[in-house]
Formats: sequence, C-alpha cells, structure tokens
Amino acid sequence: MKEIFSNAANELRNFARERNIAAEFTFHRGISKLVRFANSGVSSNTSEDTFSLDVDVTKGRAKGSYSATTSPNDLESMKIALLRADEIARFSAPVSFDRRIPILPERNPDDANFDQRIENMTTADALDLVGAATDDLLGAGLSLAGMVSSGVIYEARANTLNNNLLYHAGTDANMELVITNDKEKWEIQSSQSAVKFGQFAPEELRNEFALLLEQYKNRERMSVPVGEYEVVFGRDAIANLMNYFGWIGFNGRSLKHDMSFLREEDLNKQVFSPLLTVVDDPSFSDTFPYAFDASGIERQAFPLIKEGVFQNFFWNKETCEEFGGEPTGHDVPSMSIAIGSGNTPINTLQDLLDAPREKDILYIPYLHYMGIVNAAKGIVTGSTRFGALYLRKDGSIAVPYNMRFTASLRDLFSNIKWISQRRAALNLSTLYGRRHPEAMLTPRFTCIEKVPITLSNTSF
Amino acid sequence: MKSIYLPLFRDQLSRLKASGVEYADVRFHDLDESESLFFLQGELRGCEQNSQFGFGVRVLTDGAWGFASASSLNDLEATFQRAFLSAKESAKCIERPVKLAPREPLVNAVFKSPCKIDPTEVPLKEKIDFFKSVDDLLRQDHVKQRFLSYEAEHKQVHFLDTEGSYGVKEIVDIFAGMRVVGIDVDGLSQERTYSLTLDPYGTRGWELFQDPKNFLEHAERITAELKEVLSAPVCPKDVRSVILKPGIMFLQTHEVVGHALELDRILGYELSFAGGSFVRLQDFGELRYGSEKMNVVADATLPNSPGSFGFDDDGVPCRNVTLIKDGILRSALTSRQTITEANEKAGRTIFEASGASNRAMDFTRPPIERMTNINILPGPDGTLEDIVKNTEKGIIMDGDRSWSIGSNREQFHFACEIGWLVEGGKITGIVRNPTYSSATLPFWRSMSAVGNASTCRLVQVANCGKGLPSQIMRLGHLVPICRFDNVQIGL
Repeated sequence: MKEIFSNAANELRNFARERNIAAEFTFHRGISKLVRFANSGVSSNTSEDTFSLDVDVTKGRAKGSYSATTSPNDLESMKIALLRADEIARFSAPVSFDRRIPILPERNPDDANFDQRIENMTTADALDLVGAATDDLLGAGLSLAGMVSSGVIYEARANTLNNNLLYHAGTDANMELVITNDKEKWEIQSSQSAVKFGQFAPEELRNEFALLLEQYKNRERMSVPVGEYEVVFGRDAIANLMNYFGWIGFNGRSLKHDMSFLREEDLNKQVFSPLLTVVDDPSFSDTFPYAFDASGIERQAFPLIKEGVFQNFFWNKETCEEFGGEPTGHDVPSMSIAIGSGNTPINTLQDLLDAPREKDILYIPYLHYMGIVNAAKGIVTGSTRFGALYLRKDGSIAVPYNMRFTASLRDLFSNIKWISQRRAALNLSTLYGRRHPEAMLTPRFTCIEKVPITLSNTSF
Repeated sequence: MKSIYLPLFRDQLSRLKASGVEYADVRFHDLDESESLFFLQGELRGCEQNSQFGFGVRVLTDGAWGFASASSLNDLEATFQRAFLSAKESAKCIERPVKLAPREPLVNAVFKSPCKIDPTEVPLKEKIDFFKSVDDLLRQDHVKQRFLSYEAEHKQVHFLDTEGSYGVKEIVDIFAGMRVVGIDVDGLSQERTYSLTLDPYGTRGWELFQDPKNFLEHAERITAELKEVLSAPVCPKDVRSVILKPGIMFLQTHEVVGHALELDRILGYELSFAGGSFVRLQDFGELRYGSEKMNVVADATLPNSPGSFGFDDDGVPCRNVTLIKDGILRSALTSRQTITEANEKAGRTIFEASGASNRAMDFTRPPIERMTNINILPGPDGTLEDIVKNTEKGIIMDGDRSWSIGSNREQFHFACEIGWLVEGGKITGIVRNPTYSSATLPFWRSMSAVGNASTCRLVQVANCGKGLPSQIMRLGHLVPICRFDNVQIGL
C-alpha cells in the first residue's frame, strides 16, 4: 500500500506544484470486518474496503478542504479533489492568524504494530473465539450478543513542501461479548482488545463470565438506595471517565475556549489523588500508537498527571497557530493514554469478591451513555450497565438494578482509595466512519470513595 | 437519474439469484456530495467538501445475512462474492433463520426531497457572506465565543434487489446551527444554541436562509437569553411540573420513545452496543406508555424532513405508523425481518407490515431500524402562555445541553441551556444549569398538557448514532410544547 500512496503523492505533488498550489494530502485505506452476534446467532457479518483522500489547500490565511472516497488507483478523481480544494481555498475567507504547512521530516514507516494474522482473520476465527469464550455458558434463558471486529488501516501524509511521505499502518481487533437473560433483561459483558491475534485469550472472558453468571443467577436483586458509595470501577468504566479528560480536561484547545475543567493555574498543583498517574505514551503497543503525528513530530511519553499533580495540557497545530506555543505531537487520530497501576493485589473479579470489606461497596464495571452536564465544572453523568454488584461488608453479594451517578471528574479522581496492580488495554474504537483504532491502558480496578448515586432503577 | 452502471449491478444480482440465494440487494451511491462550513468568532475555520462513490451489497442465504461494500467498481464481482461468502459463513451460526415479510417490489420508484435551491450549487462566497452577517448579530460584549456551523448534502442512491425492485432517491439535506457561549457570575461557561428548523410542508434548500425567521432572527434572541442566563440563579433542586419547549422536547421524544420503540432493540439486536428496550412484545396493545394526552406517530410521509425518504433500504415505501394512541402502545419502528420474527415470537400478529424504517447511513453499512419522523401529535392545551397560566409550580426548559439515558431507555437525565421558573401561573424568572431526570414510564404518564399545532416545531437530528459497525442517521421530530408533572429537577 505504501507504494500506491507514494506514487499517488508524487503525481499529486507534481500536479499541484505545476499550478502553484500549496497542498497537503492525507491518504486513508480501511479494511474492516465485523461479525455481530445477537440472540445467540450471527446477526450481521460485514466487510468494508474503502479508500479516501483528504486534500487541504492553503492560500495565505485561507484554507479549503476536499475529501474524496474513491478507488486507490483513480488518480483522475484525486486530481479533481485537489482542484476542488484549491477552488474552495480561493473563495474561502482568511483567518486572523498565520496558517502553515508543516515541513514533514523523513521518517521510517510506522508499521511495527501490523499483524498478518489479524489482517487475515475470518468469520470462522471469530466463531471459534466466541465459542471458546461462551459455549458452555449459554442456554436456559441465556443468550449471546456482541461482536468481533478486526481490520487494517493504511495511512499516509504528504505535502507540496518536500517529497517526504509519513506512512502508518496497523492492525486491530476487538472482541466484546454480552450474555443476556431474556426474561429478566439483565446483561453481563466482557471484552478483549488485540493488536496481534495471539493476544486473544477467550478463556479469560469465559472465567469472568462464569463468575458473574454465578452471582447474577443466584443472588438477590436490589434497588440501591440513592446516596454516596465507595465504588470499585472496572476498567471499562474508568476508561470511559478518563476519556472525558481528553475533551474537557487535558485539551489545550478546550482550555482556550473555556470548555475545560482544568485551568492553567492547576498546572503543577496537586489536583487529584496521589494515586493517579496518567501518561500519553506511544511505547505501549496495545494502544494502537502513532510514532509521529500529522506534522511528523515524533511522539514520546507525555506526562499528563503524575501522582495527582497536573503536568501538561496537550496542544495541536492549529491551536498553536492561533494562540502561540509549540505543538506537542498530538495531531493524531488517537492518543495512547495509560493510567498508572497501583499496588493493591486485587487483579481479578474473584480477588475482588474475596477481599475483606470495611463497608458495603458497589462494583461498577461499565458505564452507559455518559453525558457532560457542565464542561467547565467537569460534571458528568451516566448509568451503570453490564454486571454491577453490591458487595456487602458481611461478605454477602447482591445484584443491583442499574443506577445513575452524577459527579465531577475532579471529585471522582481526587477520591481514589486504591488501584489494582495489573492493567490491560481497553479498546475504545467507535467504528463510526473511517477506521481509527483506539485503546487505553487501564488498571483492572480503581476504587473511588464518595461517589454520588443519584437515581436507582427498581427493575432491570 | 439513471446510472450507466445499473446493468452491472443487475448482472451480479442475477448471478446471485441463479446461485440460489434467498434475497440480495445493492445500494449504489453514484452521487454523494456534502459540504460543511464552520465559523468560530466570525472566522471561517473549516471549509470542506466531500464526495463519495461506492456501493453496498446485502445477501441473505441459508437464513443468514452477509454484507460487503467497496468504493471502487473494479472490485464489483469480488465485493458481491464477499457478501455471499459472509452470509454462507454466518449461516453456520444462527439460531433463527431470517425470514423477510412479503412486499410488492418497487417499480421504478423515484423520490426527490423538496428543494428549490440546491445548496451545493450556491456560490461559496454567498454562503460565507450570509453566515458572517449572522455572526455580526451574535457579536456582543457578553458573548465570549461564537460558533456557526452549516452542513449540506446532496446524494443520489439507486436500490435494486433480486425480487425485481428498482428505485432511486435524490436527497438534499441541510443543517445549520449557531451557539453563543458566555461566562456566568461564577466564572463558568454557559451557552445558548439554535438549530435550523424546517417547515414540514415546505422545502429544504438554500432558500431556507432567505427567510429570516428560519435562522437569522434567532441570533438576537439567543444572545439576549444568554445574557440573562449569565447572571441568573442556579436551578433549584426541587420536584415540579416541567414544561418542555421543542428545543428539548424533540430529544425527550427521540431518546425514550423513538429509541425505545425500535423493534431491533426490543428483539435484542442492539444489546451489545446501543442497548435494549424496557418494552416487551406482550406490551403492544396493552402498555400504558403515557397519559391519555400522549399520541405519537412515526410519519415518514411528512413532505419535508430528513426522516422522509420515499422508500427504505428494504425497498418498502414510507408510511405513517401510529406508535402510541391515547397513551397506549400500538406499534414500533420495524423492518421486513423484524416484524416476522416479532410476530412469530409473540405468537400473534402484532405487526401487519413493515413500517419502512430500515435505513443505512451510506453504502458502507447495512440497514438497521432507524427513526423516521417521530412526532408528538398536538393537543388541546393551547399555547405556551395557556399552559403556563395553568401551572401552579413549574419550570420551562429549552435547549439540549447534555443527555444520558439508561441502556433499556428506562430512565434518563437531561441538562438544558435555560430555564424559566413558573409560580402561580406566571413566569417569575430565569435560572441557569436547569436539569431534570426521571424514569421513562412515570414521566410520560405524568404528561398533563400538550400544546396546540402553533407550538409545534420540526427539529432535525443530524447525527443519531446506533449499530455495529456504527452508523449515524438523519431524521426529524415534529413536536409541540408539553408539560409533565412531579419531575425531579436540579440534580
């Protein structure tokens, strides 16, 4: 694919230079497969192969953009896209700051995280994985839902300033399975993310399902009284919460637009629990990392929170063009966020159930449909879903109906009580539009005190 | 509107039919162009056009689906074959073979959305000048950030299937919004927004912007309302009547009526992602969803809305389906596949025919149940003034600031942009950070007033998300002002 991109880039660069057009080109090819399960069968089995070209033309302080979804060999369509972008730029309106096309450095291809086995994954592979994770657990009113997604992306960037080409390719896969009770309508979930096929370990999903099923089949159901609780969040839930930091926390652009709950005066201050460390680190291959960003800036470990002290906002190119400052290598489709592990030896669901408890606590593995109630205050709300448990001080366990919590991110991450020793990648890819895999490295459990439960269902 | 490529697709469908598949269809986008503009502080920050070309093939064989798409016709036969083989592989793991409800094939069906001036043909300068003139109205001392967005789409989609159907639809959609942000007395940001609404019996081209009442004149209103919000007291924590204007009523309808009544959700097809529904098959014809004032339709025959599209991606002509009548649940958003399964599972005929709700985002995705125009029918309770006059202790809310919904759509939490307290039948003042939350059924059963037709607005939704692989969808909600009693606010 690199050669096809390279040839197209050469043609387009020459075509643009002949016409004195300053242009940037982004090539993307995504090959996606997704087997979806519902009611214990395959409900949908899709494959997609699309190629697109984005062209940005800069004319002084004005810019025009054109995207074309076409064939990778259709150079004529690509040239038309370039001319359309040029026309848009000509009639566009200038901004009040200088725009600059980056001088792309020479970089080696960024394709270390490419796995042929994932590229060649078949429906039969997906069925085998799902079978190993669930087969002997289903039946008797229990159904399987979920999906196995796999794919490949090839991306390249080039511009008219020089002949360099930034190339990125990678594979990604994800297995998210749900076991549902048809009558009572409860659901439990487990997932695994993989950058290489060999990382899938369906027996781990099976063990977790088995343990959760034991609780959900046999324990009393309850509506948890509204109030404050000590909550052990699972990795899905904590990743979901941390994801909001990328929008309304660490993001320099949000800061400049008064949409961040973190302020410049918070820098180098103890804002969160000393147990919390967060870094954007492309050395974690499980996060589908980018070795360099769209400007060719080499991405390195970028501390965001260190032992509760807020370290840095991240800055993209356009924000720096407008407000000054240096970009931090964050013009990427996805970052490589990793939450630091702790020292509490509670690393499996069985460990959690077995651990002695000083008080009644909630286990919330997953949060559904979160929303920002107030961005400037960092207040978010969401509902529990998939396998919550009520763990009583006396050792007994109940199954709570879904609950809603509403809290500020600042409060939540200031009240961390303990964090697991082990962590794993959680796949956060949204699968909207172009394929862009994303994953976060998160501890298995994070225990947070004083979490306000604001609404509690009275049934599933 | 004919495409030179249609014979190629017909050949492939014939080949599949000859090989014994139960059904196959193809959607071919030979024209799919969009344009977006984004202004920040009056500056044009984003100016982008997009074109797509491609096709998606759906094959049903041995009771299972396969789907494949490509952006190149070079891979035509291979893509049809991929869809076929995917279906064959899927068939090894099915519990219940897919059966499609019968329908008459489409015979050269043509649908064209109403549009006088194609927005993609309007000179860019004219558009930029227009939005800059809107921005001039937004630029006021108390407004710290000004955002304007515009998006238009023009596409032509051909539909062919192995049952002999052919149809083509040409759709123009247009969306625009404005948002002003200010800093309140506590140093926190507040916002007020407005999105382009449609006349359900009008057209939706660039001509919409030529009538100031559709967009321009709302600039002054939202900046004035923002100014009041910035110094207003915070919404109290209380239990009150909540009066929802269309700017939030559409979302209330969307999230816990529209999504809850998608039949694929009810049948468990979205449990691993978007979620399920608290509604069960035995509830149809029985469940009191809301008060007797609640009447809801899924009306894809409304002349002018992104939720009207001529025929769905099963090739079924659009219909107007009554979902809830006098508060009792009657029907759902359905497709050829799901009505057959639901009727079989229920052991009775709940759904006589597909409601034509099966739609795909574009050629890269297979169709799934999507909302059309989920409308609350107007009621006998007059205007906003009439409803306020008859409210002892309440709050009016408008503007969707955030939303969060339970996975079975059984409960929700909404934050709005602005609230007006009502005491003793009068509006007594504005509050900021208004929120409300409730369980779904108690909320709709507490519906105590429904405004008349003059209070209705057709609100467009440009980005409803659902499905795996994920899809967004465009649709509409024609909703009046409504009141609900005993609702928790201020959490």
